[in-house]
Amino acid sequence: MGSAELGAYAAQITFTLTPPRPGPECVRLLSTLLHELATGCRRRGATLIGHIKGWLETGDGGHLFGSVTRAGATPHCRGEVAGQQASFTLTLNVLLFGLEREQIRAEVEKQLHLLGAEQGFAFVVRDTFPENGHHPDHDRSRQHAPLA
Amino acid sequence: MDVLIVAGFLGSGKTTLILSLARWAVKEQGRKVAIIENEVGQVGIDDKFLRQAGLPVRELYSGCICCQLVGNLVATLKALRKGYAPDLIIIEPTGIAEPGNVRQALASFRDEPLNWVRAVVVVDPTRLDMLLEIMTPLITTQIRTADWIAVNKIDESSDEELDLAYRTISDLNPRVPVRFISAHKGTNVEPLCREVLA
Repeated sequence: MGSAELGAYAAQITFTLTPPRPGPECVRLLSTLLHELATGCRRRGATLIGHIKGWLETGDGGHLFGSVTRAGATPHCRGEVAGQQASFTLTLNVLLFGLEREQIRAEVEKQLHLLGAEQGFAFVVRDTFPENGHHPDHDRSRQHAPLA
Repeated sequence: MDVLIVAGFLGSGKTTLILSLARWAVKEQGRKVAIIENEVGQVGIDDKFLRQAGLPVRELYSGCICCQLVGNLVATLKALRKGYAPDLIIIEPTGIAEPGNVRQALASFRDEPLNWVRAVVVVDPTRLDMLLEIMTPLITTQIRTADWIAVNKIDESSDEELDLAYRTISDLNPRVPVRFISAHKGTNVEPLCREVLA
């Protein structure tokens, strides 16, 4: 896959935290996950990270938005999570160049396993990228200029 | 009905700027604003971010409105006009869309004449040199087809990056107004809103 090939992956991930964690730890967890994903994707061969972003929802406790656009950078996180959280849902969206969807999916799974083992959470991943989706099939020949 | 396209590469800060533009249009101009979000995946993120700010959002997923989803874009415009009747629609295409193609797609909407269609392209100066190297045709096309360029993230950029951004943009599109902003911190955003939404 050439450097200008776009790889896209999207998922909803349900986290179960045992024991429940305070809001600031949820912020750190999101930030760490995005950071490690960006770094891991780069290590796997991503030539350019478009964005890796996540929307974390806790129900009554609030929500967070986080994004990162380069490996090694500190993710931007906004929003607030209050109280002790036993679970939350993360909507994850990864768009980058140089990796295929399966490679991105593998990196997401890897980082979730590593972080989960380290920080004590369980997770369930549901892919939400449509099978016949979008950018890899982008009809550039018809209307788009070539990407590179 | 007016249409503002806010384009720009992935991660340039389009959604954050849209939040300010929409709020300003509602507060200062009393406009009825709707936003169309074009995202990857079946569950969006930017729409949640904007909805949480109380803005009405319609999503278009699983395709790009500048080529694959032209029909869906027109159908969404029709539905919005019928169901919500906004006087300003802000469109956020995906980061790899070309504003000129979105503009062309809007020509298929004939239910009502559009007063104006304008395109702001958001540029991230911290990555512009890299993007120009890897994504030359896309980035140059985005810049060339803009009515305004918002050089974003000035709070995170060096003087050299800002200077390079200005020189690059001026070379590619000498007549385009270039505005330096921080959408995240709100720096210079209000004058841009006033200019773009006048």
